[in-house]
Amino acid sequence: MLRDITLGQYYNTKSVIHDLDPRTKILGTMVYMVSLFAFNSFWTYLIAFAALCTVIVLSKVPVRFMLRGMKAIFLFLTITVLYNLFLTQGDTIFSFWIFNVTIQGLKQAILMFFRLTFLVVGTSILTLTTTPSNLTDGLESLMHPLKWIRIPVAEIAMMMSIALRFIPVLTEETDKIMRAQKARGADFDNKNLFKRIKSYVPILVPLFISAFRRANDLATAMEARAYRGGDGRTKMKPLKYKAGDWIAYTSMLLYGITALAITVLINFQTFMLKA
Amino acid sequence: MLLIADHLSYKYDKLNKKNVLDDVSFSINKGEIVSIIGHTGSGKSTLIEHFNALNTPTEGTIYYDGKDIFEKDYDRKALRAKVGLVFQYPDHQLFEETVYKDVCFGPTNLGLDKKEVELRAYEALKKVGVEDDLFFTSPFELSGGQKKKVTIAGVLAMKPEVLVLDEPTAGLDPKWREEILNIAKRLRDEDGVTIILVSHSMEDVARYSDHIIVMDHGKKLLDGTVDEVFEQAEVLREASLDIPESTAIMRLLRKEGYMVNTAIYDADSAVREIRQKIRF
Ligand SMILES: Nc1ncnc2c1ncn2[C@@H]1O[C@H](COP(=O)(O)OP(=O)(O)O)[C@@H](O)[C@H]1O
Ligand SMILES: [Mg+2]
Repeated sequence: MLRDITLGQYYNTKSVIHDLDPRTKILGTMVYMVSLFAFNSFWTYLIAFAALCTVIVLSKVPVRFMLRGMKAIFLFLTITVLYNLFLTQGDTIFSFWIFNVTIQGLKQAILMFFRLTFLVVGTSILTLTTTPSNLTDGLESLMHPLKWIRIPVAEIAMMMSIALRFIPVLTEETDKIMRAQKARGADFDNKNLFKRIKSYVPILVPLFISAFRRANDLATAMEARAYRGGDGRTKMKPLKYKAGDWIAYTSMLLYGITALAITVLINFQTFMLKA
Repeated sequence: MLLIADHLSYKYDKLNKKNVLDDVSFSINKGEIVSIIGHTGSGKSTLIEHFNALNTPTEGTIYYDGKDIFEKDYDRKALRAKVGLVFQYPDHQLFEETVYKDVCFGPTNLGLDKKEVELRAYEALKKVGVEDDLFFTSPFELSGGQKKKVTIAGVLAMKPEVLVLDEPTAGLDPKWREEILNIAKRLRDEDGVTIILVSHSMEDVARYSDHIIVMDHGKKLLDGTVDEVFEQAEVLREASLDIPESTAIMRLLRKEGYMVNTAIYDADSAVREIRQKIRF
């Protein structure tokens, strides 16, 4: 059934971003992440925002899916922003009770807010537009050089893709098991922490048993098809760069150069002003 | 009427436009054996998970014993003891070291004292016909049919008024299928438990049922006594369901002018009926 093959949080549609080689998207995401940490002026963030919007529009993924990732880090985001807002030393704007809001704190808080938001949305574009199997193919290919220091890249990639494949299966199973135990009067929101942990035993036991059974079945099935490790395995769909990938790499380069240029310019300006 | 579904609609994902259940209404009487039938994905499991409030409808509601179970201050935990739900896969339910301990899980959650729990577990295991020498073995070592029995006992030990069995015969051979369905029938006949059977096959459950509800693509397609539903063979076929072969044969004979009983749902009775009524 469809629900069984839709993997992770992949959003199935056709777009130029979906069509890109996974390596391009992984490297692009990395470039973007580095840029968010390396350049933190107003103007570079404006460019980062523009770049993000462009990719979102091109990807044809509804914005609400992008923001789903935000929900998960909402608490973390709030704490980070408040922490920076109230606990940064500097020139006070106003203060109340024990809190002291400074101009530096305000700047830092705003910066952190946008940095985390861009990071989360940026990485979710990668996972929303790339199937997990494609993603592992890309990672495997990018990590290929590590083979020379005897890291079993192909095996790691295989393990990753299997793990990814089973996340939705196990999530669904957890849900089913939870319902089955709830139907027998199990209570999972006990206030007492110890009792709450204990209440998860009836979920964990069936879940582990089923996970081991699946692992066993899978191992048998792989062996029956003569799987013998990653060495010399060929791919059904080898990764190949297309025209779109070169356009993407060029855009990345342009993005990097522009952001760098702006940063240099700003620093040069402040340097000149100081001198 | 014990259980009433009142214009029930449900979707798993708010972002999705399509309803998994779409405006479903019916009522179930006390002491009936009701079968909910539909092909895979028609929403049967989703529907029955409303009966004990595991799912909350997006529209409509359910009345149990005259009370709206989705009302704010309704005691839904108590409801789960009254409407017992046995899921399709025993492996989703069994977790204890021994069969006996596993059956104790439900009544323990009801907050009963130890003696009462153990008594109920014993009675429930006896009721479904699990032999004493299996009581202290691991539930994971049992056969599929035995596991099924134990999961039924696990729910029965809570003394439900309604027992809902989701695909109780899936993955079992004919001998076990019959055995499990006979347990359900016995529970109704001896203890007056209302039984709701969920199945994708008419053949399996028809002859046990008083009342059939047919689901198709989240909608209720047919609802009535077994005869009333089988009367609509055409509609059933459209929902890719079929009336049991024996019933189909009896209907054909009837059409040809032989005065045979058409309320026949298994091969043995069909043979008997034909031997009796038709002289060659
Ligand atoms: N947990 C879930 N999340 C999302 N969709 C679901 C879930 N469970 C079932 N569905 C969907 O709801 C529909 C009805 O499923 P289900 O009630 O299991 O049908 P049945 O029991 O008749 O086979 C199917 O299309 C199925 O894909
Ligand atoms: Mg089902």
